[in-house]
Amino acid sequence: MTSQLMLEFRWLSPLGISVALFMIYGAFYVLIGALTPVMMNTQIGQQVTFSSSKKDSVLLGGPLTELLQTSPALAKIRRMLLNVIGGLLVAAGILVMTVTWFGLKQAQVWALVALALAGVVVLPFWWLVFRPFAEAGIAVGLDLPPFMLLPGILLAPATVFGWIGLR
Amino acid sequence: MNTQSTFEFRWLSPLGISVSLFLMQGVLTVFVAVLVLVINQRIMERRVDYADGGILLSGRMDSLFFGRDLRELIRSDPLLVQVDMYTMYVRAGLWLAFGIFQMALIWFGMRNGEEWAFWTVVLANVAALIGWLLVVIPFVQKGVLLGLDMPPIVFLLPIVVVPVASVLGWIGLP
Repeated sequence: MTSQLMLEFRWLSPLGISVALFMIYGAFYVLIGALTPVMMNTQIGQQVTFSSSKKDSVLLGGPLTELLQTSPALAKIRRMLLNVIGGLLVAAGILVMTVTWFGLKQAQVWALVALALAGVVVLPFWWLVFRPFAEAGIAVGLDLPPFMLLPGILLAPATVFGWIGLR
Repeated sequence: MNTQSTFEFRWLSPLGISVSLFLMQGVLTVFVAVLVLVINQRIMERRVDYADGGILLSGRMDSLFFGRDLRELIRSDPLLVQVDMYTMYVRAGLWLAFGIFQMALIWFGMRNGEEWAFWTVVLANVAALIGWLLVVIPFVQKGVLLGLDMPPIVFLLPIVVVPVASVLGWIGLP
């Protein structure tokens, strides 16, 4: 694979800012994913599954902590599915960070395309997760899971800076 | 990053086979994710059929794990299906991203003999499989006999493909 240009990478450049933003994005995924198996069994973790404690309880028909206590099967399924998601988040974070470091930082256009595309294609899925809230008349606002909120905020500027930097 | 300008990729080589296997896995993972987007809602509505595929591993294994028929469990607690559906969308979104990255890394990285691309793919797959392991361990602890009736593309396939493709890739990398 050839580098498109023999660029001298600088952190204080559009490409550099893009790399920094994507690295934060990826590191965040790794952190959230790695903490998921630990945090979900804490008092805080047991209050939320999708949005905030209050909004989840409206959607699910009761406070999550109570639902988990009355339904051991629900508690087990939630725990195990969140473990799968945790593993996937760590995997996704690794992928984002290495593609950013070894690809985007080397001015590889395919890396920016992959990062942007992967960031965009998940959006319809996130919308489907929160559609029931909308149908129930619940405004989610910024009460999104952190692994959706922060990457969602970072993706557009990271992509734009990357595009500017690679031109 | 140095270009290994003398590196010549051949499909019929250990690296080539590794690339093919990982590429196939990436494509199928993307396919499954898109399938979820299209049919998940319809499956959720048909809750009786839902029990065949199971919520965690399979209808059979899930029933053994919970100690009662999954259909009965779902009827008594419909919230199980709701939670599964929502988390299924999260999983599918991540599978789609995973598949896209894997294909890009294989095509633009591994095919050019880039070691970092190879180890990234291996490591990412291992991380995803650890998530699954955390699901399987309680089943094993409960004495549930694991079978091949597990999620075929996102779990069974990587269990087979990742070790084989990893060894071949490691052998074949310059």
